[in-house]
Amino acid sequence: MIDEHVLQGLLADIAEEIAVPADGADRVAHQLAVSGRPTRGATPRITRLAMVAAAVIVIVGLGALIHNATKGSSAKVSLSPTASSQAQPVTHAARSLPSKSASAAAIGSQGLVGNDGPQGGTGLVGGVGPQGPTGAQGVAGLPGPQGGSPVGPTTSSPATSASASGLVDGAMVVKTGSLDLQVPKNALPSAVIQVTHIANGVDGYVSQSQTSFSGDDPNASITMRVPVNAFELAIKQLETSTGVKVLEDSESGVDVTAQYTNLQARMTADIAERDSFLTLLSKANNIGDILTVQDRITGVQAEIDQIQGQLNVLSDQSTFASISVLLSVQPPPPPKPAVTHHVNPPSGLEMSWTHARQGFAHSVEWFIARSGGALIILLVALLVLFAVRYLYPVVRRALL
Amino acid sequence: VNGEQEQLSDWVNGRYTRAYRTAVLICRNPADAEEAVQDAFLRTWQFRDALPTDGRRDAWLYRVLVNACYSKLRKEVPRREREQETLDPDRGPSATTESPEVRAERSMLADALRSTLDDLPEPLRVVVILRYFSDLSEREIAIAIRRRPGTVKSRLHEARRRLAADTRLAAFAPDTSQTAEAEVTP
Repeated sequence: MIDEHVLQGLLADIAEEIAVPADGADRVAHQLAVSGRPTRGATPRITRLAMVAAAVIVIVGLGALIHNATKGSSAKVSLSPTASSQAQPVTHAARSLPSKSASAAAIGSQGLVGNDGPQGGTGLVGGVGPQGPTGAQGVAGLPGPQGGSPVGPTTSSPATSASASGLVDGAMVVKTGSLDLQVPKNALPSAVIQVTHIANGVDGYVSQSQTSFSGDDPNASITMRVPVNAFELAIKQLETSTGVKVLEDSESGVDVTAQYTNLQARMTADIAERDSFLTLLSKANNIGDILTVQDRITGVQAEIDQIQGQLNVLSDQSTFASISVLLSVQPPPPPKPAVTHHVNPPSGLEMSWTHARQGFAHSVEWFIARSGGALIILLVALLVLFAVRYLYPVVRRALL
Repeated sequence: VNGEQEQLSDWVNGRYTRAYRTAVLICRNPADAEEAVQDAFLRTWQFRDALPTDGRRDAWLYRVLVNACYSKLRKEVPRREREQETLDPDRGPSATTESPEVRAERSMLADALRSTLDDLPEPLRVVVILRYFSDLSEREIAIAIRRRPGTVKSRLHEARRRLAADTRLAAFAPDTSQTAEAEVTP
């Protein structure tokens, strides 16, 4: 290896032989003085701009956050009455529907040309208010042909009718669900009670129940009817019940709006036809005509009753969803093979370490969750500042 | 303004000669070297506010200078043409008190070094020039050539090894065996 001092000396000798332009330095200095504009202050100016930009980002971000938060809270405030007002009709519908169904059934049986006949019978043709999306322009109870007072019930109001029919955004949807749940051994009775509570909690009811708590395979089959608006809630509550394992979950929904509308139209036409016959009946003079017209009226009324029944069924199905719950007991675990080794329980230090890690993770999660978007905005602002403060000089130097 | 002008003049005058000779050694062409030096001073002065103020500004000057020399070297100038214009050994002999024999010997060695340097790969040649002529530290050379100090060290080592391989320069390689014996002897 050649000696460094020798190398230095020889290179100095070589360099000494290089003639340096006499006015080279002056020319360079002059050129620098002329064109070499000092850039002092450029970096601080850009830094100031970047800081202003970062501040704007932070302010805008915080403003957006506050705006969203305010909007969210106002939405919550305004949502509450809406929710309650929405819930109310459902509840009302749920509670009033069974009686309505009953009255509807009564209407069907009463409002028929029938027993006492047109000669001043007690009730002829009770007008039935069809319950449907169109607002159910119910046909008022008509007086008997011979001046009998109308007995048939009058129509229900459109709002009541709509809420009772379980309309969901103007559509009538029949929802059904089926759940196959597994519960721990000896927990089947309490699970059945819990299912009943869930049904009652959403203003529903248990329509069918079959239980078998003894034997090798204890199980229970429950069919619950819940308001259609509470269908998802009930399903969720069932699936998240304590100790319950969901084996199978199937849900379906069928839109029956068109079918319901068709039935309504048919019934309106039939009622109009029946009314015409009643008019004719009131004008009939001989027995033959009366019997003929009455026979026709009976046929039309039968059809009206049939349609009304179908409407009632659809209305009920679209108001109350049906959920079939099958509860079974977990099979006993297979016998464990003989354990030949012992698992050492975690030591105190290990548990402490585990707790510390979990605590740290929870703290970080809490911090991120509470800070929301502010943390992200702050990080972006810091990144911008860092880029301007440290990366910009590096880039400038790299461009040299 | 006058103060700044004075500062500028001092800065250029204090560095120009060494920078110019470094550029000539790298470029092997006085015209290219002059342009490279001028460019290096100009850019370093323009960007002086972006440079660190820890006394290593000269390293950045040499960084710009080396880059400028590289760009000159990359130009399609035939090597032979450059060599014709390059150093004139008879020009500007330095005043010395050495005897003619010693001067002749040093001149021969300088020629040998010059030809050996020319044969070195460019990366090795540049670090040798910057270290042993421009007197930059390894850290400053690292800044100048945009490499890590370890790379500079290894390049210097490799360059000195190759220079020592030249039979004319080999005599100036210290005898490691004698050095080792001297270290062992109390």
